[in-house]
Amino acid sequence: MINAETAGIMIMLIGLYGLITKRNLIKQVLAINVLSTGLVLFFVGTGYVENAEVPILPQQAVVDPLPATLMLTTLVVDVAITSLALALILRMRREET
Amino acid sequence: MKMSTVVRTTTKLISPFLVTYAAYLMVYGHLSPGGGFQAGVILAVSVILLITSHGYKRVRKKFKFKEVGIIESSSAVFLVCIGLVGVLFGGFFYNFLNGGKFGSLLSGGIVPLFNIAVGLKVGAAFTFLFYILLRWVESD
Amino acid sequence: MIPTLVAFSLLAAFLVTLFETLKVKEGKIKAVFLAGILSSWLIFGYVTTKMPLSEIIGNHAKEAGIQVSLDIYSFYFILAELILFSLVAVYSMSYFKQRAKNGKIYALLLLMHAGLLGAFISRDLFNYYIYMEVASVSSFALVALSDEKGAKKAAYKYLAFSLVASYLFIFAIGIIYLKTGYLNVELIKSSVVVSREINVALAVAFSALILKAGIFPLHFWLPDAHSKAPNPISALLSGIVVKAPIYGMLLLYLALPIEESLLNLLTLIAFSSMLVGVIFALLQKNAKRLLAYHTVSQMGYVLLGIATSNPLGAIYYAFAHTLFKGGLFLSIGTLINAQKTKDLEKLTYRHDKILMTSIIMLSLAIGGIPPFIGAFGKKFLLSNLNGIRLYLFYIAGIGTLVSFTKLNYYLMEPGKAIKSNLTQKVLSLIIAVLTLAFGVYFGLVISYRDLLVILVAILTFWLLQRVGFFNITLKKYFGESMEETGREVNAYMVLFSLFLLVLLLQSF
Repeated sequence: MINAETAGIMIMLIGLYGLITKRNLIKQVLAINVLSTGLVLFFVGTGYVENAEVPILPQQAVVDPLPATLMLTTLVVDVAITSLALALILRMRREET
Repeated sequence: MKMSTVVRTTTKLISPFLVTYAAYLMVYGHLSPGGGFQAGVILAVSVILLITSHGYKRVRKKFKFKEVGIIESSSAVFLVCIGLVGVLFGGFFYNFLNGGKFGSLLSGGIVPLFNIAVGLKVGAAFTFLFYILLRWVESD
Repeated sequence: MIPTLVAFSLLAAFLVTLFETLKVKEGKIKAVFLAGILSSWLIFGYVTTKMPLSEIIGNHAKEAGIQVSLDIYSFYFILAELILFSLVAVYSMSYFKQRAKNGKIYALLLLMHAGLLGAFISRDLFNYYIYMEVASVSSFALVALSDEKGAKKAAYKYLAFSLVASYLFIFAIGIIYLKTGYLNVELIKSSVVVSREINVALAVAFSALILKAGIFPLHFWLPDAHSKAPNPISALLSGIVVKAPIYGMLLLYLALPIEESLLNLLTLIAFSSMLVGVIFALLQKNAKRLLAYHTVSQMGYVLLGIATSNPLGAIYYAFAHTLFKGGLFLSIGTLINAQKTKDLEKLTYRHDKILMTSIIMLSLAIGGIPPFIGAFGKKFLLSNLNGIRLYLFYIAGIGTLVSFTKLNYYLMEPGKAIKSNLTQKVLSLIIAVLTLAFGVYFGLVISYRDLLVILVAILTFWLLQRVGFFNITLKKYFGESMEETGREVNAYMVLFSLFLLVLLLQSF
């Protein structure tokens, strides 16, 4: 079984490959999003503790909730920058024609 | 570009339930999974669902540009003001409404207010964003 | 009390957006804009009397809270940012007169201000990342607002590279969290153990921060983004937004033990950035691109401070660079705005005494001549160097002076006399006088060796002009269409991956 951190690093490398090879600008923005997904998976996987339970009114050892909260903030930043990049691409297209 | 009658009627019936779900996530965010950002995204989805099924121009006449902008800015101002009021009581963003049993709705203090402000701001911001991105694409 | 520095600027930004939506008159929007900046000066003045001060937001415990503090490491960054931002704000109120959407520009400027202040006070690695992102996103939007031909492509390239670098920085933070369990700088320092994973994390984090700071060999986004932005925005970008990654490097230096091999590699990168930046700057004919390449070179100086374990030297040089680079962009921007051309051979300042004084004073400051402030930073940086590094440092300094001799030589030639805006001229003079004032405050005196350095620089300039060095033109490799932009991103991404690989391999 692969653990979450290794899977996260592999997905990040796939995103980096997409940035190196694709020439279409929208595919590059999608590759950046794949890289961010891999990063979120890696980070959430660092909080995993074996045989532990969900951190809601806990009775015993819990999975660490801090990485998930930090990744929520990262996702917000990612959505904002992706929308700015798409708006820039639309403007570039309009300027060219 | 609008879709067929079945799709339009179904989305008109489903949208209010999405808003209710978003409100539940906002208010119970400190006790169960959820919170401000998730609720805001679902609020925005309820408007975007209507845009995809009814067409951009009709929805824009109902949810005007200016009203969405006012909701966004005023909830952001409210958010910073909650933090600044905390300075009078101790530190920045200090939880000054502490009280209530563990596990009840009032036990969070200022956290539900924070969640509501963040949810409204994020929902309005995403709706605004889709208005602006669709303005370039749909020119019919 | 410290986070209210950031809170009032954010409040002013959101109020400007609210008033813009409600279509309030422009005078009130400008009043809110100025009130936001004035409030940060007042709070900064109040908090500095109790320095060093540190608090946790919300009064929680240290392991569970976000720590902000104001001590010697943050003080000069915040002071430089407040001075430069106030002057750029007054400048931009008279620069953006021709546009109908001024409210959005004021809101973006206030958001950038709040983001930079939040980054410079934080002592928690993730909090620092969030505020640096707020400042960077505002700067992407502000670069794209320019009316020039390649501005949006420059903004897109800047966006793509900065975003990938941010993700790699979070990856490094993730590894540090996995190994130590804390994100607070003081708690990490007390519980870290040297291991291979920490070295990998440091290598990845430093390569990400080197891309964001614009140091050779990862400087490719900088000339386009800084030269095609509007003039006051270029001053802000080159002045203070490239200093935010330097503060991140300072935090990493305070938190984790860095190995000798990584420090040696960073010293090599710093020296190459200093020399290559000056060589490219000597060949430029576009005034703003010349200043942008000088930013690449000067960032090498600041990295040298961190690489030779001299954080105070880096801080003083960053403070000096903010002042004189911001002043240079504002003065040359005033000339460009009045004479409507960016070509060095057509610009002239001969008829304009105020601008001539400002540009000559700022050129002496960037060359490191006392009693201007550049010399103070250089004196601090020199204290840890010996042997061949000392000679390379002096050669880079002479190179900078040669390039600015060329700039003043071209500007001194007579041409048409067009009057520039009075507000903008006076603001450039204020920054030039501030560089002199701070230099005198730190106790610098001019000596015979500095006059000798100026003489050597003028001789070298005359020699290079005889040889014909300034007639070499550089070829453009990439075109201007959208597909060419895609190919450019691909090529530079390969360069970034190779650089990351080199840094990773030396840490194993």
